[in-house]
Amino acid sequence: MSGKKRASIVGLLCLLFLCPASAADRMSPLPGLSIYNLTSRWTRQDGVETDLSAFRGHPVIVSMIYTSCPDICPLVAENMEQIESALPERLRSQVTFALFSFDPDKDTPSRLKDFASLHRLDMRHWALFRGDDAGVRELAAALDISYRKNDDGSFDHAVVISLLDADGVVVYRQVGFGTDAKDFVSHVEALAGTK
Amino acid sequence: MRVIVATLAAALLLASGGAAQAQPQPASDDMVLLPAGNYIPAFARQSARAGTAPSSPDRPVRVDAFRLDRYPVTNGQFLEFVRQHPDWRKSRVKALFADQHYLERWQSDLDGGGERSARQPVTSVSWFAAHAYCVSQGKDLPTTDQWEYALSDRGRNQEEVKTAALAWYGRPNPQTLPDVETASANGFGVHGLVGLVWEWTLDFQNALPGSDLRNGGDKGGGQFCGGASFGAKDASDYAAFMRYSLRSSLKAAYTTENLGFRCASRTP
Repeated sequence: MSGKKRASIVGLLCLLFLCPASAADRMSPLPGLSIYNLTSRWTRQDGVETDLSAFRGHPVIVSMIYTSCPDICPLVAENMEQIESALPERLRSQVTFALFSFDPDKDTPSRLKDFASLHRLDMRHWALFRGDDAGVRELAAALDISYRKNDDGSFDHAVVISLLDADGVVVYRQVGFGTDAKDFVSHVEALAGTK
Repeated sequence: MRVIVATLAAALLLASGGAAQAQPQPASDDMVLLPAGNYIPAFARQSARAGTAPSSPDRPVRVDAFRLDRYPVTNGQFLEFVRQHPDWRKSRVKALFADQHYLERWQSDLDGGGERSARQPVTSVSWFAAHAYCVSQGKDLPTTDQWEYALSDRGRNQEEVKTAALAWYGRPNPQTLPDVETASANGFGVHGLVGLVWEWTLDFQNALPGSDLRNGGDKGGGQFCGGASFGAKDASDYAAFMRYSLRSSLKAAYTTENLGFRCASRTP
């Protein structure tokens, strides 16, 4: 009972200071560098609405793509799949693989779902998200991924895959196509070891 | 449990009256309407995607009509923002959103220097803070194209602008910044695009053509020379080179004492 009461007080304080609702559930404050300090709302491929702090509690491997991308984005997904298969089974189930779209206009949840099926992503570990313009800008800035929409509706964007710890702090990132899955595995192992 | 919290939240929002309003309307009197038009960027856009040819260096870029703040955002205006949005106060801002020099000229959370500096441009604000400010006003940061289009001023007085920009870039930062009203207006009626502070743009990261994929977004020191000298419209426009270089050297949490911002609004 007193636990419940405490939770409601924390929840109320959090509302007053505009914390994301799910952060209230975890009670401890987020580190200052946590990506989960972003308060943007996102829609998952299955239509579920969420904020970023919903990931809190386990490592996340994250990148940004757009599904009409002809050449680069499938490679990003493939690189992340390589990391997925390189992870030992006991760790794989603890890690979420998240792709965020640059393209709120075209990447509807059903488009994201199609992309996932096309690439046979294991939806037990994977999730794809669509945000709004401001949310996409801020997430890209926080992950330090530069991008630009071209006149033809395509995007130029950097290729960056980042590993977030349980609190949403970037602990490792690789830039460019030459993803080394082994490095990600050792960083995930290091995170698991500190638990 | 959730229901109780949600109900309390609803009650709080109702009790606080106007605070629940989602999108305030921009006050248009402080903004200038810029008609649609073309301008030639100092550095050509070049898609880095495979199979895309670089566009010609002097290909004009079309900019739709938009509104732009007449002046850069002032300390006084930013103080009002942090009053209403405590997460953006000096003592509260998250490290993700601003480095340790955030609002360095300010004495404390709610002391931006008083009357004396209320009309001076706010500086030492990160991209995140500038973006949040504009969004809170129902506006956005101008894109680099919008900002450069405003400066291009339909070709009016471009030599004077270049000279003034170079002279200003060459001067050390003054201890005290001038009031925004003291800066002269260009043909569009926009004041102080050069001569007051450097300004954030929405897509500052992409200031140099094709830099994003070639260097993978990792802003290394050697990037400007290679990227910027390629496709430059006018090699003598050193002032433009400095602006583009500065923008691409920034990260979204950076703050410096001569970097401020103004907002734009897409709806004319």
